[in-house]
Amino acid sequence: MRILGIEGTAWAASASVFETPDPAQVTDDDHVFIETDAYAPDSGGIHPREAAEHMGEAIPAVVETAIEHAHERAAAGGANDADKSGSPIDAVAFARGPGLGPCLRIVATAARAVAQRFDVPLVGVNHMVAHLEVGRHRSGFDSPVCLNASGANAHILGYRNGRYRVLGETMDTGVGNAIDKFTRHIGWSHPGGPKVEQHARDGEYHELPYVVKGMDFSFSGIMSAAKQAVDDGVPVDDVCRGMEETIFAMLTEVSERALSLTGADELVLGGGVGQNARLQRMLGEMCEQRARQNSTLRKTASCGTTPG
Amino acid sequence: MIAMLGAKMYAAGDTIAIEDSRIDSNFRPDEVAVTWRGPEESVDSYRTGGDEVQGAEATVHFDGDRVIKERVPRSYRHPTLDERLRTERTRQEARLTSEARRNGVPTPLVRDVDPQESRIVFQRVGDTDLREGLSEGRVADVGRWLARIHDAGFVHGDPTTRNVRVGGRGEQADRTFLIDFGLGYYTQEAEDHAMDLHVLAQSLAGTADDPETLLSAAEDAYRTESDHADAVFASLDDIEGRGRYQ
Repeated sequence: MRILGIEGTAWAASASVFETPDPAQVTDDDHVFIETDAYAPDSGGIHPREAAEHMGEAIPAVVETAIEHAHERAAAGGANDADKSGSPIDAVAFARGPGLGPCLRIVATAARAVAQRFDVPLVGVNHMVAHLEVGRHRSGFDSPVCLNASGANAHILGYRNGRYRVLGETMDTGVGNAIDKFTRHIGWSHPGGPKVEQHARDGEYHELPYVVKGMDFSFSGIMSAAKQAVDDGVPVDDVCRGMEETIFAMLTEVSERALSLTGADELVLGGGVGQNARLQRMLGEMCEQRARQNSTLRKTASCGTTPG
Repeated sequence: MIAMLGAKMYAAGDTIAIEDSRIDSNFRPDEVAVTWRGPEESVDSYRTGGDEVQGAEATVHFDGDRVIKERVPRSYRHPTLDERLRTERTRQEARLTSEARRNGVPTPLVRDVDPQESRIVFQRVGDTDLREGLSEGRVADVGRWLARIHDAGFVHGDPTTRNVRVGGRGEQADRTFLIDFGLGYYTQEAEDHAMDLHVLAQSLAGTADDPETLLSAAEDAYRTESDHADAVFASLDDIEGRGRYQ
């Protein structure tokens, strides 16, 4: 089976080819190809109109590159069910949301065009669920608690009765957007997360508000306090460190609450912010500590994902 | 990665016609009818047993008719933050547990508090957590108790089905106890009060087979008991309909 995937939810236009003999599990014959064109604003944050303009130019190009790759795979004898009809792919999957409307529409239009061109079915994917399914797929876990930490979203999810239930989520903005509000304030360009991560390494912990309500959480108070701290002369590195320690401790705590509530013994991490090394370390340490204190905790791991 | 989940969905026959393929910029993960996983699979794998329970932030030992709750340090947190959270929450839990009882809400008696060691000794109440003994009547009790503490000017902060004890012996048998007030705080805001109901709803969705009926029981009881139910439910609608994509 060979699937073309197209996404462009906010800042990156991306097309991918996923080839597998069995989509239900990781196999040695799985093959992944990803072509990405990221939108980098000249300064400040993502401008919705600029993002859409970028998407309009970049999507057709990355899609063509991915289709060429699929043709090469098909010519080289990689089996797909649709070979007989001459199509290099079996289906086109695209991100229906969540995301910025104009960007999503460009992606959907491209996906429909490719589906019609090769006369193959269209698959509409929820981008958040895709993050956690990739984590689940790669980890081989059965029914983990999933923490999605991306630019515009932050959810704790668990599967029950045929749906992913939201066990906890942000009450205001996504993790990445929260961090970007701070980095815009001090004049750093998008994306702010990696810059905060770098500066935090040299900083001392600076105390900021810590807001967890059950398994929900909120970032706006932290960001206001962080901006204020910089304006008051607290070294930027220290504020970055305090932000990381506070935000990621909150995400780790709610993940642990979800593990505790459900009795689950597996955790996967998805989303762009999931690539932050400090967050990965905190979650890993939490899981290890739980495993040490509780012999029924079988296995835990975390997993970041990339766009594609 | 879109293609990887796309492959699972395609294998499950989960495709859409072009005319049905409109985008959804607020597409929530819980709106997806999952076709590629079995209906029997579940994140919920809770097991009971033993005299020691490891909660999310504390370890609880049962010792006769006493319960010893210790917030053990969390090594993943910065030590300063860790100490602050454990001390604050221990103080707050002891204070609000007692204050709830003064307002007519069944809670365990606090026998001893040591904020430095993040340790509280409680009276032992109930036989099990609510999540193992769910019933409409008990969930309605939770709604009623939340209304009472809200009217008294504070919130529980974490009213999940694990933070309610039920099914005790003797005169406790029919009582529903709220425990674990460590995330509680004083507030008169309807939005904060609504958050308690929202947290309860999420925990029912994650652990109960029939969350809607149970939640209605809690909300009906809340409405009857509360002095300001309209404001709280209006706030709850805002919270649950709030667009998170900003």
